[in-house]
Amino acid sequence: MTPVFDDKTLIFQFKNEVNKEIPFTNIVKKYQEKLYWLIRRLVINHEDANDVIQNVFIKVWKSLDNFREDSELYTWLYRIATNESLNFLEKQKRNMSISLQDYELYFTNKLKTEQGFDITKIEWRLQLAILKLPEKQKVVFMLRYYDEMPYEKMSKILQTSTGALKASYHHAVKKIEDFILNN
Amino acid sequence: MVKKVIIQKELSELNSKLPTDLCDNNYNTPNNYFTELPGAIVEKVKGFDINTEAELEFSIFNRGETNIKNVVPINYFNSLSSLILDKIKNKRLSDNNRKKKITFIAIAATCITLLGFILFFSKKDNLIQPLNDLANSNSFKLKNLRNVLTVENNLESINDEEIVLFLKENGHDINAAVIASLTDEILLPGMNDYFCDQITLNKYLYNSINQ
Repeated sequence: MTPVFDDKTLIFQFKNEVNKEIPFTNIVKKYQEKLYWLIRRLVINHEDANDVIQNVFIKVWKSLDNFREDSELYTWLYRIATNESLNFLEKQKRNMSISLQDYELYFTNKLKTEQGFDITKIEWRLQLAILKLPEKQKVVFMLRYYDEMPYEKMSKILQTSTGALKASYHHAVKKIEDFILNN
Repeated sequence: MVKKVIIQKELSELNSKLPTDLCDNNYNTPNNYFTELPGAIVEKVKGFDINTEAELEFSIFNRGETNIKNVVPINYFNSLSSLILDKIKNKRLSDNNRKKKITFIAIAATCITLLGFILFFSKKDNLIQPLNDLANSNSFKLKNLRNVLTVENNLESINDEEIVLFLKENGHDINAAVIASLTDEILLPGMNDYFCDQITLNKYLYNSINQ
């Protein structure tokens, strides 16, 4: 069971207790699923998601002592996870040295190899449509559609105005609908 | 799972037909997947020792693309935190070892440098002294040689008469030496000759005075 702890308490414990591992473990348990699914939808396969989430929590361990609590822990963690995922995708793209079209095809094929993939089902077509979006629009759509995150929080995570985020989300919705209708 | 009213309202405002009752995660997951997942991942990742961020990135991008799975391993989320803590500990340990090595090398280098300086300055006098002695002895010899040459040159410029005059004025035995040298060269009559007769004596004295 995921332990229920207030974020402020967890941070206080981490900063003040000699054994930081207990509060850190509680932070990981509290946020691992939400962060994992965000990362996994972005990077598609589990192995990549696993590496990225571990990297995220290593960074959290290293930086939490200096976390000034200007923002919420939840926002901060999402920000690290988003940045790590986008950095991962960017580096992967560079390492593969392939065109954008080939890269989209690579991700489409990756998704199609997922167990249970069924092109006739709306949820899989939705996943395929999301793959066609630009990276940041993809993140905006996922945070809003799947995590139902308020624009204000998203604004803090992505360092973008709420107006721009709304516009981005609306564009993403339209593009996804077009893709689903035409495929 | 039905979306929150606010999301549904927003989608309807956009005339969107996107479903609002989708399962959040359409990736297939086995029963009790979140509770069983972490253990399996720990087994997978334990042999995966990463010490630096660069190595972490390298390992991510060189893992190969064949291992595509759509499910999270059993007990994955249960053991994720312990897995991350293990990694952090390993990293801290290797960082500490590296720091210790660097400190040791720095101390050793400082000691060697100091030792070198001490040896150099302690032996400096011993090294320099013989050189000074050699230089002093050589300069002394040179001075003496210069004096000898000066004397010889001066002697060459003085003639025999001046030497005799000098010896006459300054030496006690000089007169005797001069007389001896003169008498050696003049053939004198024998002692009996002096007393032969008055005529012979007069003749002798006359000759010796007029010579």
